[in-house]
Amino acid sequence: MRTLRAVNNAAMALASLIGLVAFLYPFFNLNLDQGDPNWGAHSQDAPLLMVILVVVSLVSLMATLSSGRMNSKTIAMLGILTAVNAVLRAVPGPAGFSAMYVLPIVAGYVFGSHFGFLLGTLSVMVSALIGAGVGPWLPYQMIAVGWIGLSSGWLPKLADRRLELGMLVVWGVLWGILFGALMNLWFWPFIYQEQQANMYWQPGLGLGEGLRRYAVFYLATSAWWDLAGAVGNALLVGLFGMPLLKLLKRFQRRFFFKVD
Amino acid sequence: MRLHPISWVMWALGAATCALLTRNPLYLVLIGLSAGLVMLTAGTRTQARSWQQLLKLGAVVWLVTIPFNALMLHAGKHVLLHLPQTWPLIGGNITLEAVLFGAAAGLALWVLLLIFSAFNIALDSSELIRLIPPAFYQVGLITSIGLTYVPQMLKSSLEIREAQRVRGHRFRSWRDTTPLVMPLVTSSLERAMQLAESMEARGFGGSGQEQTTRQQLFNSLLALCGMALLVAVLGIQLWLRQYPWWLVGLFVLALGLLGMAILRQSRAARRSRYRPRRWHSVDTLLTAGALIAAASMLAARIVGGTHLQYYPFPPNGLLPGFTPWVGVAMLFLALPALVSLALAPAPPSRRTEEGVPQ
Repeated sequence: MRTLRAVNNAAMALASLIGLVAFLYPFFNLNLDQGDPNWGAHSQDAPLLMVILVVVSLVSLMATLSSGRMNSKTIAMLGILTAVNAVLRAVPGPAGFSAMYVLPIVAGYVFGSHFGFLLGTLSVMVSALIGAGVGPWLPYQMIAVGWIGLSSGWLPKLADRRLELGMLVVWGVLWGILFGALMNLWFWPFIYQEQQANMYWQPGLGLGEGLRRYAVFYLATSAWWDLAGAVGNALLVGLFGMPLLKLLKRFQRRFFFKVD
Repeated sequence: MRLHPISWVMWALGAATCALLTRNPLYLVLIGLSAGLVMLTAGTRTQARSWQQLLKLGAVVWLVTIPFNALMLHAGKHVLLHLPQTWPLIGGNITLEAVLFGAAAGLALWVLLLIFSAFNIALDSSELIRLIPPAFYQVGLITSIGLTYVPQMLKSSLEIREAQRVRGHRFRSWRDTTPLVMPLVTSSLERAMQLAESMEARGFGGSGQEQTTRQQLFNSLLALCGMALLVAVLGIQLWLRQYPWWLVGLFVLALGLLGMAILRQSRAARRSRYRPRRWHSVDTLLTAGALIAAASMLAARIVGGTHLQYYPFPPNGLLPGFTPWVGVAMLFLALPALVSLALAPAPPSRRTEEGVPQ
């Protein structure tokens, strides 16, 4: 049983790595024909491959997570929290604000990273099915929100309530910004424009230069949008974090007791 | 008669592949026309309206990005107007080329949106869930629980709102929503408790043939090997910066290993179906059409010189090129529309629609 868990964890780490590489893939791809005036000619081979890679890693992550066979309580709880989160996503808000990150963060923190990952990915999927739309962007959103839940499970368990809440608020802000930066990578490498070379990617740039250009691009375009999302996260976690933590912990005791 | 969900998935995949591989507005218009026809004939589901809204929104975004593109890109010979060079970022020539380029790029995204709205209108979400392979039955179960409970969630949120109002609570700003959200989450979790109990009462988790730990371990190892191979392939590709044939072979092998792990998991979880969908000859036709379109686009990409890209800046001309056979192949994507027009029955009664023998 312990070997199985170790193998599953290793598979999961590799699948996450593949997902990350798929997000960053265009930066490694130096095959763009730059001598050609149509140098963009092959730049679109990458999105298709990336979609395939993201789907592969998502599917394998889900397979390894559910191969551990969840019990009926975990499944029922995940299903219903998924529904709650899918409804929360539909709550209108300004700019990059979305209410859907709070639950993966708090539930991932309380119930662990596997639960958080599945809650994140599946609630994006359900909200896509009930109206937000199924499309090639979906696997990216699923895996990115899944990572929010996954990483929230890694946070240290603090005994002090206030400290715990503060940590989650900061975490919400960090993820608000990181999520935007991650999702931008979906299109940023493909929109190079000569006249503004200082804020667009070109194949062959080094890591430092690439990061610098991305920072310029980020500040110029999506930073304000994402900042609204981050502030929204902080406010929501600040407002609902304490009662949610209390509630989820109570249900954890009710659901997952052990009789020795 | 309804088309098989798999043939719809094949159609959406084929059409999306075509739309992702080209930027030529002529081909994109052909793909878009086909997808639009499919969307119009796909049915009059209530969802259609919300998708039309989304498409309108997409069109607005598209129109807004055109001037943005034109303000940022200053290359080209056909100057429309000139802004002072001293203006940061936007100063310089505003050219027809930049406008056209922006319009074509927006078109590609909008056509993709169109394809997926046609797909979503044509296919019910419950049918999509049925396609989840048995290996993921738990994930599928969670998703269908989620989908089933969304309407209930909305209903109970309205009830809680009403109850709080009766007690004199006023919802003025978002800060007053705690008395709405917390009871909602609490009652949902209570419901989860009941659901879990009733699932167990009905025998959930007691599947006939459990996999032994050993079999599970074998499956997991298979998946791990596939994943490790995939990482290796990616690493080698990034290092070599080309795709030699043996690397492609390894890639396929890695995907095969992962597929085998999933297949073995699927075999372990047996699932029975209530009213399985039947595969008709029309479905074969549709799938073939989608495959022909996607294969032609790929072939056009490999052959080259088929004007898949659109780059109006000098030395290229303003007008996109056109290769007839590629354009004709795109029209195969309109097959679902023709099929549903040809097979459109007199107003269908519910029973015949579900495929019950008449």
